[in-house]
Amino acid sequence: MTSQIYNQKKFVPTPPEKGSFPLDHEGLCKKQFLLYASCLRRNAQDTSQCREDAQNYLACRMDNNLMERTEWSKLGFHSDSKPAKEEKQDSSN
Amino acid sequence: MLRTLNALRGQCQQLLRSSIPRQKPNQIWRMKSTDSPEEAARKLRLKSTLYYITAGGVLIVGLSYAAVPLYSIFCQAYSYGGTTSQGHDSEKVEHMHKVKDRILKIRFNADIGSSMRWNFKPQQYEIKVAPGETALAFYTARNPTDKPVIGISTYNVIPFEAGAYFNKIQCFCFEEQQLNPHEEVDMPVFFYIDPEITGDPALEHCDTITLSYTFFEAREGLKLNFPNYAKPHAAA
Repeated sequence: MTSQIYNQKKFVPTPPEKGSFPLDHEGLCKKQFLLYASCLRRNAQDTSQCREDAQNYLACRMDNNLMERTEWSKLGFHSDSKPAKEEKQDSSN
Repeated sequence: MLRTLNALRGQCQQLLRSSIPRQKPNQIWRMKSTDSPEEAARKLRLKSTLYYITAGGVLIVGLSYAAVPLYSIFCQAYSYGGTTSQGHDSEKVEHMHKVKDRILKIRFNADIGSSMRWNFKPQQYEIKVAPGETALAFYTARNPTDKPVIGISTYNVIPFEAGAYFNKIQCFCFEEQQLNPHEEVDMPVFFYIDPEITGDPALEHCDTITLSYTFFEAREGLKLNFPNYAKPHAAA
């Protein structure tokens, strides 16, 4: 209704850049999600400490076809220590 | 008696004719050859002044009508006042720098429409994020009914001015999502706050941003205010 007030600033919801995440019906990435959630709890909800777990979760999504594969730098992950961890995670899975 | 009255009348008429100026009102506009030079100059000045004033008035009215589209074009071109052009590009994500000295708290809120039967809640109440850094957050939705339910969501950012700096890379909104009976899913939101938020004076004292998602049930004939890029889920 507020958007109908003439000449007022309207809130325009912008589309997400990559569109919508497909739903993870089978819970394929549940483990990575739980790891990320526990990391957040340990670090008092500070996301900068949990970037690796976030990266793991997104890597799991990409591996299971739940997300388009993109370079990490395009998603804002610039650390170069990541690839080693990713391989370790994949091998343990 | 009549003679005196007539004489009086004649005298009055003579007096009137001599005192009232001969010119009728509309003769101010007509410059006659019988006018003296001062009269002509005065009339000319009067006319020009009036023309100038009328033209000025018309110009002001025209400018105020033209100002509306001109202003919006200016704002779009120079990103003034938060009216950035649609979306953002991935180049920005690659090159943006984290702003370390300003940590923002992002609170999450989850709502459902009145007839929506899902249980929908955020997985974390709030997270601390630095502008310029991408962050991941989760919501959980559960379908407790025995039938598959299709939902579609929209979002809102409070405070209003912060919405221009809140950029989502990927989320679960604006597309229909189906949940099978008794199914529970985690829905991630991957976003970042534009580092230009530090330059916005209106948000100088803002350190909490609330992201609120609302899920509605997608039904035939349900008309919601969706932007035109929202598309229905392809039949899976």
